[in-house]
Amino acid sequence: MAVTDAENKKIQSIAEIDRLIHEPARLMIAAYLYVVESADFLFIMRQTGLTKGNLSSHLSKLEAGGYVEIKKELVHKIPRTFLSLTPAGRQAFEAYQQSMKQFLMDLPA
Amino acid sequence: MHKTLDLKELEKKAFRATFQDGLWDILIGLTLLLFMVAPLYVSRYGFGDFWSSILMLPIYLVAFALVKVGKNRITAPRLGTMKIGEGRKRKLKGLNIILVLIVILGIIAGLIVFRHGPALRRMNWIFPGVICFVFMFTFSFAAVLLNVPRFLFYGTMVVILVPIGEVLFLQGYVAHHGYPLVFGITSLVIVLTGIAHLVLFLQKYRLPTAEENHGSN
Repeated sequence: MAVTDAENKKIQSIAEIDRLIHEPARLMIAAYLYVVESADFLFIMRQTGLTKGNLSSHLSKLEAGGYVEIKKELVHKIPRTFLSLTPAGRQAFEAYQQSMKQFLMDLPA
Repeated sequence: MHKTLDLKELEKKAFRATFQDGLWDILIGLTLLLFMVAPLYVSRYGFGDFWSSILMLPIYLVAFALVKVGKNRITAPRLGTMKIGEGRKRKLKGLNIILVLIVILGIIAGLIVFRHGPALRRMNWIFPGVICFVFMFTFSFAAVLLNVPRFLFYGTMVVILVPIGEVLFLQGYVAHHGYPLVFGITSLVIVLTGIAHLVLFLQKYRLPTAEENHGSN
């Protein structure tokens, strides 16, 4: 069965997906930060099961994209890194969710 | 492998993680211990029910302070910390309102008993019934709103043991409606469950290095 132009366009919309969030590890980080107000580095590391280096690298990318805010504080004289999604990050995550849902619904059967 | 990203489940998982340490179980168990010790005070030192409970309050406050310290010194350095989202805050606010209503109802019930004590005391099954209802209601709400199913087990345990205590009391085997026995067993089981969770938690989460706490961002 031939794919129509309209269907083709819908399929091509996947190319517009936000790649910064689409990467599985970053998607997991963003999802955790989306459901909480904020969390520290250790909590996200424990929940996602990512290594310290891996988490750091993905957080750097999300921070550079303006999706994650990283604050460093001293708690009981121990340096702690606190993470939260920025309003832009929240918006981007919601938009990603919406476009993925739409894309999967639009896929020809 | 097919895994869907369920945000509700993810939020539950993140929130439940904060109950893995068993510290709240230990606090609940110690709180129920008050119900065991207070009646013993009544018979041994001749205090009334009210003053016996008041005398136990400092012990409860010490236990609460210890749990807080434990959360800061044991849990947070191993598991990390998080601030709950808006949806969860609303749920907890609901739970707090329900707990306050239960306390108010308890005070009203206490005043009624104070005024009409002799008449009510003849109706043996009223008090156990009220206690079962209050505990089951509170633990069920806590289990659902906090997503900690074992709280339901704690409620069920009270509901099963309170009538047994009452039967033993009516047959003259135990004093004080069997409270020392009922709440002794209940608090022991809950505290032991909490300790077991704490041990598992300590085994699962080692203390991270300063670098892991900090990240390298």
